[in-house]
Amino acid sequence: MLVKLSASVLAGLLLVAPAAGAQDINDAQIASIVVTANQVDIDAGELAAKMSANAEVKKFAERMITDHKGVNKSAVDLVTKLKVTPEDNATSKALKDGGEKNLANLKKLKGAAFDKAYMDHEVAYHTQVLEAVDKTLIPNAKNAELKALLVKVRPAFVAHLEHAKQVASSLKAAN
Amino acid sequence: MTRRVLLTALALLIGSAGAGAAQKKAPKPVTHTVTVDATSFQPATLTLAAGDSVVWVNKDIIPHTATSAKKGIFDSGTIATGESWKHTFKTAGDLAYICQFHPTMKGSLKIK
Repeated sequence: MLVKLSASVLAGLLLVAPAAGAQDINDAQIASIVVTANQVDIDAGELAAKMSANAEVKKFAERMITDHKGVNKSAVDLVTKLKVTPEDNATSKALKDGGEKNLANLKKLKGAAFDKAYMDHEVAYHTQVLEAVDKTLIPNAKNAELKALLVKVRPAFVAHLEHAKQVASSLKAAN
Repeated sequence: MTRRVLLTALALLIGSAGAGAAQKKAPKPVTHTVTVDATSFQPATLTLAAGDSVVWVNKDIIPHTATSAKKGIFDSGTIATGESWKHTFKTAGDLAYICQFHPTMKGSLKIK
């Protein structure tokens, strides 16, 4: 009984810890994370749309460009309306650095190797972004409209993740 | 040729008889709205009568489609943000549909 209780308390603490650690994040920083996260995926999509010869990969890349541009337009419109200036922070910088590293890596690749690296990264990236949306961005957003925007776009990221997984596994099946 | 005329006449007869019987019961065709928002169809399941129309209104910030799961029945093509697409359903039956861009988006029409 005692053992069981302490195990569940421990599990509870572990679940709460990441959110508690990120509690000092403000709306200006959240805005910067949102804009950066979208831009990073637009940049990767533009490279893939140009580089890939695979119809499914190209279609996915074009969807990423369209959707993430749509999300960014709404995000920029909202922060302009709210008079919030996006503020750089550790998370947005890490996203930007990660995006640049991914582009540099992809630029060295061609053909099937490029497609695989791009799609695998998209699966990992959307997983990571969804985790940030759920654990950090939505719980910490103070402005109701900013929170509503995050809630509204979340299902699109889920759809992107499913789409990325499907294309990534179709590449594996083809090889 | 004669056969086609006969068939057409027959179809007209059946059609008008059917319409006559249905006219008392069936109300005027209705246009139903499906709101497309947050990468979902709202309502996800819609019941309508044969002859009714459905208009999909995209209130989301990204483009979507309303496309029958079974190919070739209906396909809106791209519905951009703020735009809509209307289609009339003449035949009874259950139709599943998706967004071609986001196949996690699922909807269904129950046409009575």
